[in-house]
Amino acid sequence: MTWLELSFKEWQRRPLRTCVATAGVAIAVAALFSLLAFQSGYREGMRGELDRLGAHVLVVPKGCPYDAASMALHGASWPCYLKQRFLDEVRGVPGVATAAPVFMTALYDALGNQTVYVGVETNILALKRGWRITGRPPERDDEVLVGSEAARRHDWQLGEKVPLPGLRERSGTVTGVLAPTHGADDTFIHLPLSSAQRLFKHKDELTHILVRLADPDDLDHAVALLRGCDAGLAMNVVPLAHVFHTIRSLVNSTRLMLGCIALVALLVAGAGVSNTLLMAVAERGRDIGVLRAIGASRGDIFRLVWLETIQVCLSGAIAGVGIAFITSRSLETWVRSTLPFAPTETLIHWQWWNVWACLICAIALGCAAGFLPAWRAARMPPMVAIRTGKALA
Amino acid sequence: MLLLAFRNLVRRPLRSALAVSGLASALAVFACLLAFGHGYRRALSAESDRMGLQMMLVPLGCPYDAAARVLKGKSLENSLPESALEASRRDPAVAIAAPILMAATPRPDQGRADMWVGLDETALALKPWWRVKAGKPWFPDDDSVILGCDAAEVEMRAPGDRLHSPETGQELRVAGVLERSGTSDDSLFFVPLRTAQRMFGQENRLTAVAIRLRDPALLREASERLQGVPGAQIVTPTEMMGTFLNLVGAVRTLLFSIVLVAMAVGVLGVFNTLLAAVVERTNELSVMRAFGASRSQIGCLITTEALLLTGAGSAVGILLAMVGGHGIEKVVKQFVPLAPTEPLLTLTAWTLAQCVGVGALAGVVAGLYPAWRASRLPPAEASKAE
Repeated sequence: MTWLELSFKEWQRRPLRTCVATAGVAIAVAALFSLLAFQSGYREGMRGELDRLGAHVLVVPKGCPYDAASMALHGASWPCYLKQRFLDEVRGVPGVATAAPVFMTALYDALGNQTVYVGVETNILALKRGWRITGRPPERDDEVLVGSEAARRHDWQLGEKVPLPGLRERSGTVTGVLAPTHGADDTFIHLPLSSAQRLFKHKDELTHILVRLADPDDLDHAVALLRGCDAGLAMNVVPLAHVFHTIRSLVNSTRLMLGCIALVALLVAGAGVSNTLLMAVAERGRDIGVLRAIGASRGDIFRLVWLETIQVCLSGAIAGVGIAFITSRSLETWVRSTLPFAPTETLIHWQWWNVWACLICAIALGCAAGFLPAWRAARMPPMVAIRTGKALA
Repeated sequence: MLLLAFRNLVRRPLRSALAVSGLASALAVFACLLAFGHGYRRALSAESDRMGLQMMLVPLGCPYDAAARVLKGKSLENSLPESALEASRRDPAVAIAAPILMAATPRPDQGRADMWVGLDETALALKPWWRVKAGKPWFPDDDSVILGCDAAEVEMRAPGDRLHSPETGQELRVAGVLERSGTSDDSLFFVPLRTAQRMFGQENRLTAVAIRLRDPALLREASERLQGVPGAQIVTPTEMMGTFLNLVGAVRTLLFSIVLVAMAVGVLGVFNTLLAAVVERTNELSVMRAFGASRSQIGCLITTEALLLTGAGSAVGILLAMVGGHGIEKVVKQFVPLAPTEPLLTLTAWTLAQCVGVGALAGVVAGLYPAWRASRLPPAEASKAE
């Protein structure tokens, strides 16, 4: 019988106790793992989302630019509007390659389902380079371009004349269907700008302007020029790179605090494992004494108990990663509902280095937690152990 | 029975200590979080109540970002022209419009930034609680400064003393020291508006205009009109507070969920300890049964042990939070934007009660199965095992 096999015996001897100790480690590791996976997912999701928007600068009405950016990304009804004449001024600023006007509004049906209408001009295609359209973009009144998700939900086909949800007695012809972008665009219904303005009775008004610069490295200069133009005092110019940066630093500091608490959880789990092993050593005094008497050295006993601890921690870690994997979907829904500015992409990214990091953490924990029980077991004089140790049923 | 339970725990000091320490560290973090949440909310609402204003006219750009910049001692990206002040004073709904210029001189070596605030006489009407502990209640001349009570303590100045600001090269005389108000005003340096504009090179510029309306019901109407002031936008304190509380709330929920994980792990540890104790003491418990102890009495004994363990855990945890909390607060304040100046970590009786309650609940949960198992031991079989 090898030492490894021997150390497995404890599982058979006290299945409940060992399982509980393992479960403690598993829960803590699951938390740690989710945290690690969330970090990389959030960053990439955020970047992907801003890339899909295709703009370098967002021009929005006065108000908090973070709210505005979030509204532009996810679709909502806007509380205030820009004048259409600002568009010409924005276009006149040197360095602006494309300025795409957008009028966005959201309607809700009785069940609370949201339908987002987005009025655009065809120059939006210069920004949305990732768009693949089956059919053609809307040009005339009553023509609509629908996102893949919206088309699927309503079961609309290309060329079909469909009633527009939320708008009574209005219908449109689907002239194009957007291939899945994995962003909020999938659920939007795009109309020509002028018909959207008429439909929602906001003539000559826009909700935001997406600006693409000729040279993205020239961002600061272009933003200064935009703020300096005549309309600059009546609108908010938001460089998206800055928004991205601020949100990321906010999330980073949150993550740091979360990480600290996860570490506390891991330490608590370590204390639990250490305790369990101490009990096992106390109970098995006689066994250990016999082992010593038939020639096992102190080092052998130490190694046996230590191996056991690491085993418990490692199996806990594996179970924990499993738990994290299984619960990642529901966890994600929950995080999304709590966090402001959550990107639409999957937040929790499965990466192998995260798994290795967790396993290494667990092994380190096992080494530390196993030290005390192993030392105690090794120190037991064999005869005393046999005499006083209890063999329990 | 209490004594008996206690004796049983003391019999294995190391084991009990380990179980307690696990739970205690989880509870300590829980207590800190709880206290922090209470403190943050109270401090924020105290601050906004005392502002005595109904809206603020601030420069374009995110007000949240601007506030965070000011706190970190960076210069503001943009500011308001003084024309915005005149425009708001002309508005029929506005009773008082007070100009404010805020600037910060960072002191990285001391881990803080001195905040300078330029005011004019209209500000007094918005700050009814403005009371001077010593010296004059208002600036006698352009080169005077009024200190918040914390600022006066840090600078060790009393009315009449000279105060030199090395960053701006300004020589000032302390005119007065304010009474403690419990808001961020305590750590501010107040100077006349013109002096502040000169000191920080912001001639004819303002950071914000604080506005009180003739009638709060005019808020909507007035904000629509004032939203039209070029280069400015309106924020209300409730709006700002709502944003902060939302943000802090989201963070807190996430933190709590992980604390819950730590607590669960701690409870598992206590559970294991108790279970081992029951198994180890099979003989003893069966003898007790044979001597006439009822099942429920045995169950009670084990539950009492569980409660004692978790009670000790709560006590140690709260103690840890009290001792280590201020260190944690310092770290947290660096990360949380717009941390109020009041001490955030205040362990109120309610917080303590919540912690103890959670600890007791953890004890009951952890003790349930071991107690049930102990009470199931039939006296005869148990003594057979001997």
